[in-house]
Amino acid sequence: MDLEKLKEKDPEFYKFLEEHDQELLGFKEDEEEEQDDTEKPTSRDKEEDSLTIAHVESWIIAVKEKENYAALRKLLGAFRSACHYGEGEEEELSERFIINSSNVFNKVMVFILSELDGIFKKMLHIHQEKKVATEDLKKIGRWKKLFPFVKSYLASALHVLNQMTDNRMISFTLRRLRPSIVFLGEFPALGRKFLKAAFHFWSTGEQSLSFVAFSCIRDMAMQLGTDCLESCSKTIYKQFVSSAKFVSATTLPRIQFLANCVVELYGIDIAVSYQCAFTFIKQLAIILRNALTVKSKDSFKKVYCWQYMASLELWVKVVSAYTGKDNLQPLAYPLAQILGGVSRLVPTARYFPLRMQCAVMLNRLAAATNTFIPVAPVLLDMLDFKEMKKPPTGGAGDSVDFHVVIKVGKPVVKTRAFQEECVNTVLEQLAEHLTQWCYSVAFPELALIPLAQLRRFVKETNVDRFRRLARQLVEQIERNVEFVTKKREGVSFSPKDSEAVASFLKAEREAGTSPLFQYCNVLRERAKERRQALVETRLFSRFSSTSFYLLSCCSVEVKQKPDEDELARDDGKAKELFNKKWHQQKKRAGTEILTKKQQKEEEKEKGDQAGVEEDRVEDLLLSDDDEQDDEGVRSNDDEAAQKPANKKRKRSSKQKQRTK
Amino acid sequence: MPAKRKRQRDGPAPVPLLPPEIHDDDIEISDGDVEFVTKNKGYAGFLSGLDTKGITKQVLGLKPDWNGDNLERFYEKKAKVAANKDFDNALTVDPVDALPIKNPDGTLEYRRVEKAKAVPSTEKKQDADKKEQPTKTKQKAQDKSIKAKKESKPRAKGAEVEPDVKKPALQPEVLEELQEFVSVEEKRGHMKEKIANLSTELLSCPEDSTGSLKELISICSDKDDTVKHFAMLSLMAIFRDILPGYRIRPPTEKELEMKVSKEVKQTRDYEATLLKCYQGYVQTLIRGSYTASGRHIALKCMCGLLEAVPHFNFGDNLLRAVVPFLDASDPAERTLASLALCSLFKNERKHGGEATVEAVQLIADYVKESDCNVQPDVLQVFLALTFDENIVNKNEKALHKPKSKFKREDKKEKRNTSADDIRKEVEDDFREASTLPDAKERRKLQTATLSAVFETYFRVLKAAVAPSTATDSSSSLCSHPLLGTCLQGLLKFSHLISVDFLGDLLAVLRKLAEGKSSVEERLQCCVAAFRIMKANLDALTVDLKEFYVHFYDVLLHLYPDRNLDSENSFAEALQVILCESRHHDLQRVAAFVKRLAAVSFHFGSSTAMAALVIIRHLLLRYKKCRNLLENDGGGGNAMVFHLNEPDPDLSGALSSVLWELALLQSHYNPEVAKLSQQIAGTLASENFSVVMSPKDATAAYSTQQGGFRPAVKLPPSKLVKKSSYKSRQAPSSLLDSVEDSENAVDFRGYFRLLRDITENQALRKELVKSKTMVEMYARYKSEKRIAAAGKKSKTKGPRKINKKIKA
Repeated sequence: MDLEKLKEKDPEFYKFLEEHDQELLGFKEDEEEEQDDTEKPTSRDKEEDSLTIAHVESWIIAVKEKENYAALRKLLGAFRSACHYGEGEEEELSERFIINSSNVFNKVMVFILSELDGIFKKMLHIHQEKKVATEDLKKIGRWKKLFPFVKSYLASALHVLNQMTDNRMISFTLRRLRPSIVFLGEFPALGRKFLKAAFHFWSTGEQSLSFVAFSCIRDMAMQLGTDCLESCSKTIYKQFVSSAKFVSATTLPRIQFLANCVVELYGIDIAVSYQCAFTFIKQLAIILRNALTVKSKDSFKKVYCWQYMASLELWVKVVSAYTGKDNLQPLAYPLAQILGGVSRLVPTARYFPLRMQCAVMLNRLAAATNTFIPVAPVLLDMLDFKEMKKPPTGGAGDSVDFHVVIKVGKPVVKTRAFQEECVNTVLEQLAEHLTQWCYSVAFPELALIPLAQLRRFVKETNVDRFRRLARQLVEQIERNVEFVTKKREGVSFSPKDSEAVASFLKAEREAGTSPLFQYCNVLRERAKERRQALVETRLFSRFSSTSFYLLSCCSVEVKQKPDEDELARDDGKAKELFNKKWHQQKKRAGTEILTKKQQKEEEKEKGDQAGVEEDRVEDLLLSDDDEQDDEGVRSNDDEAAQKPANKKRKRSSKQKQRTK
Repeated sequence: MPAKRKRQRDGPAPVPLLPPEIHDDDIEISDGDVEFVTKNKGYAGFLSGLDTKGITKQVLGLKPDWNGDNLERFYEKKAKVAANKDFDNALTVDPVDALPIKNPDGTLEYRRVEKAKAVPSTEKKQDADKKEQPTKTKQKAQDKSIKAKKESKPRAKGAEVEPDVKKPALQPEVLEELQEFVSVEEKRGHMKEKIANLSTELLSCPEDSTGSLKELISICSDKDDTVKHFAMLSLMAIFRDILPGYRIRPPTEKELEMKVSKEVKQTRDYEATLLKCYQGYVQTLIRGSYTASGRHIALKCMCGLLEAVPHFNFGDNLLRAVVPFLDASDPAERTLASLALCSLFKNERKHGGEATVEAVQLIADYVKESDCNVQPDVLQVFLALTFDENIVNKNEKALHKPKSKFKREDKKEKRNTSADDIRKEVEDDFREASTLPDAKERRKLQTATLSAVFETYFRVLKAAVAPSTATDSSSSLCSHPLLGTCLQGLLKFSHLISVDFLGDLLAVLRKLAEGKSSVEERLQCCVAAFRIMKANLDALTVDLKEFYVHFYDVLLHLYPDRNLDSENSFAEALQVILCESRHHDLQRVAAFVKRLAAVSFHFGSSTAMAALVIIRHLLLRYKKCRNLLENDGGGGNAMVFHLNEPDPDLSGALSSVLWELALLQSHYNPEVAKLSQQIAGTLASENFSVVMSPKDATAAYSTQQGGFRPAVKLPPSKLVKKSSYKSRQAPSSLLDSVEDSENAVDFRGYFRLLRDITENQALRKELVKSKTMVEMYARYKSEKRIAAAGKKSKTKGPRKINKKIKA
């Protein structure tokens, strides 16, 4: 319009423009057309197209009560435009509703997301509780008619899912979409899109969202059959590996949560899991073999990195979770061998934390699968290092958490704290390893070499504390040797009678009366305390995130029973640790959200008192993340404060123009 | 100015700066200047007196050296000169402007004409400078052309240099340095070419080009290290090719006196020169090996020569120089030297074994001199030695052998003559053709070598035993670096050890096996002792009981899974000590079975397999030991088993039960589990067709190089496809409980956010549009002003646009 006016008033300039900048003119013309377009509906929308609450409500009633297709179409159209709202001119929608009120928007979104699935199912005569396979859908008469509606619904919802940024909204949408997963089987493209989004949220979202996303993935895998499960199993592992690149005290609990999710997914169909696990473990083995043959620094680095260790740990978890002949038990053998190879790959004291992790994993694997794995050489070899025998020269040093480091610096190796941690964990893990077989008929022979080497260590070490600790363990092992020897003098079966061997000392095992078993419990208790102390010092030394950290304590130390009991009391009788963790996290997330909400509101209302609010919040959650969030909120608010001003100015000028 | 600079950069001669060109362009002659000059013609008169023609001529003279770019510039300048001539003749070539001043901030300041007059005395000097500069330019141009011929490396360096050169006002020292550098580079390129030419000449016809050989050798003592190294390396390659396959013997005086044909004389001369040259070269190399810079190259050359021409003269000199490098601190040098010596030992055909003896004796001397405190590489090379099986014990027999053979041949000869004649002829020819020395000579050499080798080994052993009693245990571990290799060598040559030494040797080994040395060494000692025993069964009747005890103890402290070597040596130990030795005491066997079973708990799968294989073997061989498999209350044996008894004979193992097998059946490695099950259950039936040695077992199940042995159970090839799965347990129930708490999500905020974003975008667009509009209008205005000044119409347009700007 401006242009036309210009043409009238200043034809020469217009001509000039035409000559010099066609683009500008064209762009103007486009604009004009558009303005024409948009203006007409705006003039109209006051009467017709602009949605009002009344409209929406009338449709809702029509759909709900009469299962009216026309109203459903309109509602879905509204939903679609709501989902595509604010995306500029690119979209060309045949049915377009103008939503000008946030209330209408909200109404449409909430209704569609929360109730449409039920309505679809009702129309298809599917009971809510009953699970329906995707194939069954085709058999239902009305499915054909509903097909486009469902498609439109899912497509729009997935679209908006990818647009949203707020975690709560995403998790709400995901949760609402979950019941409709059954339909996704009919639309493979949409299904893939949904999975992609879900995996993204699973691996990157905060914990509650992550869990919702995971349950969507799980449902998807369960309801859509083997093919879907296969691809899910593969993708979930890849996602896990890529999110396990960096492990620290703060990320460890999250990675463990992700690993638990993977374990859960791999439990759906063991045959599929075996296939996937087999290929992925083979990959790990190939990397290791490469390192063993090439022996270059780079190839070592590929093994001695968090990703590799995290995947190993994951597989140990998976295999341990599903033991038994028909299950993943056969994979324990390659895993154990890889772990052994990894622990021996670069035998230096700097990699002791990694070695220790391997030993812990081996112990766990052995305990879960009830197989014998030679863990002792991995551990005893460490005591043989000259670094462990010399008195420390590097001073006291900071304590090292072996769970969150792979390698320590050269000076750290010489510190007392490191040495102590090493010797302590070696003895603990050794006790753990021997305790697994402390009721075995062959225990005296099994203990022979560890005893010999421990005695040698006692003789050779210069540190009194270590000597005392080692001697204690030696005594306990000796007591256990005596215990088993005495018991086996009375038996009459031979080594080949496997059943009799298996039932040897069964009663004692159940009662837990072996000396070594009892001593091992003491050691576990001690280890727990040590770890607790470590956590506390870390908490004091810097404001690390508490919510995740507390979680990690109970997840890393599987044996921490008292804590769990307390939790269990709160949350009813959730049996799995996985569940418990989730609950706890959930609660925390809830409070976080609450406080954030409050904070936002309050800040808006009385911006001056923001400082006070912050203090309170920090008291509540001593976490880095939250602090960051606080900042984010603040800066957002600042921006928001500026924005309206700008906008006002702009808008007023625009109005001026228009009026002109 | 920038354009000018750029062109200059392209030009060939950056160093002298070509100042006149710069000033030509840059100087703006102000009116005042002109005035000044015209007023004071007296001062400026000398300018007109300048020999411009001479100068231009000189410039012109450079023309052939200049490339197109320069020529262009030259003509450009010429044109300018012509243009300026009308203005003021003198100004065109004012030399004072030649040297600009560089300010601290890097900008250049050119002196003006007035200043030229203020300092007229410098003018001549400047002029001289200017004359010099073109010559420099010329030289540089030459440099450039030579450089272009060179390989990429020097050229890259040259390129690096150029930007520096470009900077004006370079200090003379820097210039000199650069020049030096360039000249060195140039010289190197030159020399390289020369070396290449000489070498090709030499290789094509060595007899005729002794001159170039001499020249090459003279290059070897060049001042420049790089050139020297090139020469050395190429000479090495040349000598490897041209040296004859025989040793050159200098002709005796008598021979010299004799009259010889021309050809013989020629050959003799050539040989003499060659020898002399080679001597010079070897001397240079040996000298070079003492210097830090040339050591590596010299060593490389010497090793190359040793490998290719060990038979030739001065081989011993080379050996003497190379042997100390076995003990060099640089591992690369050590490997070079040891590789050379190993190939020397392996390819005895080339030198008939003489060099071997020489080398071994040199090494022996070296070890002796340095009191056994040398790198293990020194002795490692001995392992490459090969001896004929029969050289020591069967010396006498060997002497007899040819005779008897001859006799037999005699008989044969009588029988069939004609066929044998031909065969004999062929044989004779063959013997002649082969360079192998006769058996006697060979034996003599080998005996000498062997005695030197053993002398060294015994020396090492003696050194290892002696101080271990004196010093404390901690230091004894590292004080005998040679012990490991020495024991390895003894193992390898154990069958060659003379019986006379055996008693002492075993005593020493026993001492070493007792302790204080490392576990691996103790194991090796035991193995060596058993090997020696086995090799000399007929000559010795020594009880090796002590070694059994040591081995029994060593088993407790062994980590055979560290690497492939230790795995293999463990398997070998098992093989030698438990499989191949004579009849054992039953108690001892039982004790070893027991110990091996206990030990295999803590071994990797391959070594565990080896141990189990031995257990099986022993149980099969000694029927009575199978009692271990049955729990029959000690089997009537009165002895009680003691696990920790150090002496296997006294442990009472025969009355124990092999409980280990019960636990080993749940070993993570399926193969180990299977084998132990087999041993525990079905051994009584004795149906073992497959006999495996521990070595085979280790080889078959070793995973030191990765991989899985046995293979992992494959997943089912075909999956049973299911359309859906039933929920096993329900984290979903959990989720539902969560859902309720978070039901109400408000989308209003989201809507507002989206709306704001859209509006913001729209406004931004408008802003951009308006801005462009204003710009266009401004352009339009200005163009209009230029085109036609008369028109004054539009008033609305600008106002409107101004409004937009405000918006």
